[in-house]
Amino acid sequence: MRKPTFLILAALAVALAAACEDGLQPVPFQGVSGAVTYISDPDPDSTDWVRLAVYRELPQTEVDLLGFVAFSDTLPAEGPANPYVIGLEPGTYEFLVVVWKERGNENLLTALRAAGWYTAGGGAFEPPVSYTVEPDSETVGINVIADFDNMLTIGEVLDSIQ
Amino acid sequence: MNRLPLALAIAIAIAIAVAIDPSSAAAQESGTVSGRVVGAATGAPVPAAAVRILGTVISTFTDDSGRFELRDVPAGRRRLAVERIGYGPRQLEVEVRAGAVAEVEVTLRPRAVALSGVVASVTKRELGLSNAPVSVSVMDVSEVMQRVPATAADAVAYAPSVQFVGEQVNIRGSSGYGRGTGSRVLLLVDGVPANAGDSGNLNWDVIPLTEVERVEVVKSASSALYGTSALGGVINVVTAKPPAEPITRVRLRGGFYDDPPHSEWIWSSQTLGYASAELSHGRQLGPLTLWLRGGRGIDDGYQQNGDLDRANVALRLGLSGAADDLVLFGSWAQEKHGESLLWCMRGQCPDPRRLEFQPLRVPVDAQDDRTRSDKARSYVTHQRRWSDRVSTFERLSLSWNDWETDFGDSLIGAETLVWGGELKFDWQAANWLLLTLGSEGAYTDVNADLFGQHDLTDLSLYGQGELGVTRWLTLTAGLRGDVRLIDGGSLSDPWSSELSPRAGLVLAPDARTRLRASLGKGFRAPSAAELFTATEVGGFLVIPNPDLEPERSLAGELGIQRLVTSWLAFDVAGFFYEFEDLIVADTVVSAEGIEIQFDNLPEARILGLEAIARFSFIRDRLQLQGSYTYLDTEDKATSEPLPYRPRHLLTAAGSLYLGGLEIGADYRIASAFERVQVFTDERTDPRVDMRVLDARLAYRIGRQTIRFTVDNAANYGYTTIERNLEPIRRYTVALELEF
Repeated sequence: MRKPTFLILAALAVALAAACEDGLQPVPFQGVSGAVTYISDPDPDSTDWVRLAVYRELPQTEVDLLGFVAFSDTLPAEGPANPYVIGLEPGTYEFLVVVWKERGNENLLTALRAAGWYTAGGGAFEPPVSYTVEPDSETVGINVIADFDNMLTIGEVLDSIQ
Repeated sequence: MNRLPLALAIAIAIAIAVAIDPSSAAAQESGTVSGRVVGAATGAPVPAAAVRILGTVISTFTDDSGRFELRDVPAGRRRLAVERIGYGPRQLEVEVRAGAVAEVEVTLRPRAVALSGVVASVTKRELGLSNAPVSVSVMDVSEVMQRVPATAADAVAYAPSVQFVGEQVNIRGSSGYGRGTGSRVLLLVDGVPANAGDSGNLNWDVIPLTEVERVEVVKSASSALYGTSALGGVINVVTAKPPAEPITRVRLRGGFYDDPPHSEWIWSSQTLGYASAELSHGRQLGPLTLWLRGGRGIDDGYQQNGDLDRANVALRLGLSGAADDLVLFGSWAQEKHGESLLWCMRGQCPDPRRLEFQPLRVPVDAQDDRTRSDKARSYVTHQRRWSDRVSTFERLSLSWNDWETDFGDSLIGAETLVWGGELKFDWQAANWLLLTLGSEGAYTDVNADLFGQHDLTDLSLYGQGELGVTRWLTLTAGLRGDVRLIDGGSLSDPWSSELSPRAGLVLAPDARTRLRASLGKGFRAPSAAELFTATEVGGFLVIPNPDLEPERSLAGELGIQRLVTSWLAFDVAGFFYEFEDLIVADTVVSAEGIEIQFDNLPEARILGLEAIARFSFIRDRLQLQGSYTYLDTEDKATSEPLPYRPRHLLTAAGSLYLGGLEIGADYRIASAFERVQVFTDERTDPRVDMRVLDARLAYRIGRQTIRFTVDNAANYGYTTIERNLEPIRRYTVALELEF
C-alpha cells in the first residue's frame, strides 16, 4: 500500500498547489474620468442620447469625426453635473467631446452635435487640449462644460478646432 | 422504395423467431419470488437494489429493509439478477413453483470498483449500467449527499464531463451558454420531464433532495427516446420508494461565506450566510405509500443582490397492487431572489479603489432588481404488468410556472402551463428481444410580457428494440418521430416534424470488459423564449427571430469499460457531435447596449475524448476517481472554437472511510474558454481556468450524519460567463437525521 498512498499524497499536493494558484485578480482601471457640467440642459423631446467621444488626434474631416476610439455610456439628460468614466488604451488623446444625438434622425452627419469639449480654460468651446493615459492608471479630473443651448454642427466643430 | 420490403422482412423474421421461441409460450402457471438483499460483510439490508427476472419484464427494487417481492413469475427455473451501485452484481437460479413463494436471500459483496448498477434513462426502463450502449454517470444517494448540496445541481456538477456554465448544464460541451433560453439537456424527475415550459431551463428547485435515490447523467444525444431538449443528454433524478416502516428525515444545513479572495472586492461588512431545513416523512398505510415533504432555505448570497429565499412542499402517494403501480405526485415551489445579471464595471457603482470591475457588486441602477417564481408540478403515473412479458405505462402531467422580474424601470414575466402525457408499451417478445413502443404529447401555453401569448403542441411516436443476439452481444435500435405545431401551425411547415433514429451495441467479450458503440440523431426545437422574445432589460436588447430553425445533431461514441483488477476500473470513450443549425445567441455590443438575437449556426462540430478511472484501496476504505475530458470544438463557418466550451475538463475525487468517519476532497479543473460572445476584451474581462478544490468531512452514528464541507477551499476567483463571479469559499455544516 505504500506506493498508492505515496501517489495519492503526491496527487493531492499537486492539486492543492494548482488550486492555490491565483485566479481572477483585481484589475486597475485604465482610462479617463471626470464630470460633465451642464450649463444648459438638453431638450428632452428631441434628445436621443448624450455621450462623450474620445479621439486620438484632432479630427480634420467629417470622416475623422466618425472615427472616435471610445464612447462613454449614455449620460443623463439632466445636469447640473454628471460623472463619467471611459476605458482607454495608454497614450495621448487630443480631443474629448460631448456628443448629442437628435431623436429620430439616423443620418449621423446631421443628427450629431457637439455640446462642448475638454479645454484648458474650462469653457465649452475653447481650444481643445490633450491628456495622457498611463498604463494601469486612471487619468482623473478631465472635466468638461456642456452647453446644449449653443451646440455646434459637425462643420462648425471642424471650423472651431482647426 | 426498398425500405418497405426490408421492414416487412424484418417484421416477419421477428414474428417467426418469437413464435418458435419456447420461452414465449403463453398462459404459464406462476409463483412468487420474495426475499432480502444484504451486504456480505455486515449482513445489513441493501436498499434500492434492482432485482429482475431475466428474460421477462418483471423487476422491482428493494425497500429500506432490503426486502423485495416479485409476483406472477412463470413457474420453472428462473434466473434472478440483482444489481446495485457500490456492490458487485449477482445472478442466481431460482426454482419457482406454481402458486408457491420462493424465498431467497441474496448477498451482495461491496465493491467500490465494479461493473454494476442500474440506469433507467437510457432505454426508458431499468437497465444494467454495464449494458448501456452510451456513457452514463450514476451518482447514488451517498455520493449526492456527501457534497451537502443546496440543490441537485450542486451534485451533478461533479459528474465527469459535466460543467455548469452560469446556470446552464453542459454535458461534453454540448450546450455552451444560451442566456437562460433553451436547454440542450433534458431534466427528468422519476422519468417525468421537468424543464421549464417557456425557456426550457432546468428547474432544480423542484427536486426533493431528501428522497433522492440516484442521479443519472446520460452523456449522449437521446432524442430517439426523449425528443427535443435531449440533444446534449439527459439528467434523470430517481427518488426512493417510500419505505415499509414509517420514516422521518430531517436535513438541516447552514453556513457562511468567507471574505472574497482579494480585500479590494469586499462589499459588505457583515458575515453572509445561508440556512435551510427540509423535513420529509414516508410511510405505508395498507396498500398506500406516501412521502410528504417540505423545505425552506434562505441565503444572503456572496455577492450584492445574491440573496435568495426558497420554499417547497410536495406529496407523493403510491398505490401498489398485484400487477399495478399507481403514483400521484404534486408539488409547489417558490423562489425569490435578487438579480445580478452583470457585475459592476468602473463608473457603474462607487469604487474608491478605481478597479476595472468590482465582481461582487452590481451597478447602482440594478441594486433593486428582483425575481419571484412559483412552480407547481403534478403527475399521475400508472404501470401495469399484464404478464411476465408485457407491461404498460401511462403518464399524465401538468406543470405551471409563473415568474416575474422587476428591473426597476420595467417589469417582465411569464406564465406557462404545460400538459403532458405518455403511453408506453414494453413487450419481452422473446428472451433475446425486448420491444418498447410509446407515444408522448405535450401542450404548452405561454403568456409572457416578453413575447405575448403562444402555444406549442408536441406529439411523438417512438419505438425501440433491444436484441440480445448472443450472451456477448446486445444490439439496440430505436426511432422517434416528433411533430411540433406553433400557435396551431400546420404540418406543412418545413421544420415541424423530425425523425430521430439511434442504434447502439454492447459487446461483452468477458465478464470484466464491455465495448460499446452508438450512433444517433438528436434535435431541439427552439424554445418560445428563443423564437419570440423582444425586450430591452438590464442593458440587453433581445430581438425576436420567429424564423429560427430547430437544431439537429448526429452524435456517436465508441467506448470501452474494463474492470482491470478488484481495485481498478477504467472507462474510455471517444465521441463526436456534428451540429446543423445550432441555435446561438448572436451578440453585438454597440453604443446602444448589448443586442442579442438567436440565430442558426450552419455547421459546427465537437470531437472529444473522455477517460475515467476508479480506484479502491485498503478494502474499499480509500476510494479515488479521476476523469479527463478533451473537447475540440469548431464553428465550421469561421473555424473558430465554439463559445463557452473548455478544451480540457478534469475531475478528481477521493474519499477515506474510517469507521463512521468519512474524509474526502474533490478537485475540478476546466480550462478557460477560448471564446466567449459578449465581452471579449481580455483586459477588462479576463478569462481564467476554473480550479475548484472542495473538502468534506462526515461522521455517522447509526442513521444520523453530521457533515462539514469547505467549498472552493482555495478561494479561487473565476467566471464561467462574463461578469459573473462563481461562488467564493464557504463553510457548511449539515445534519441529516432519520427517525
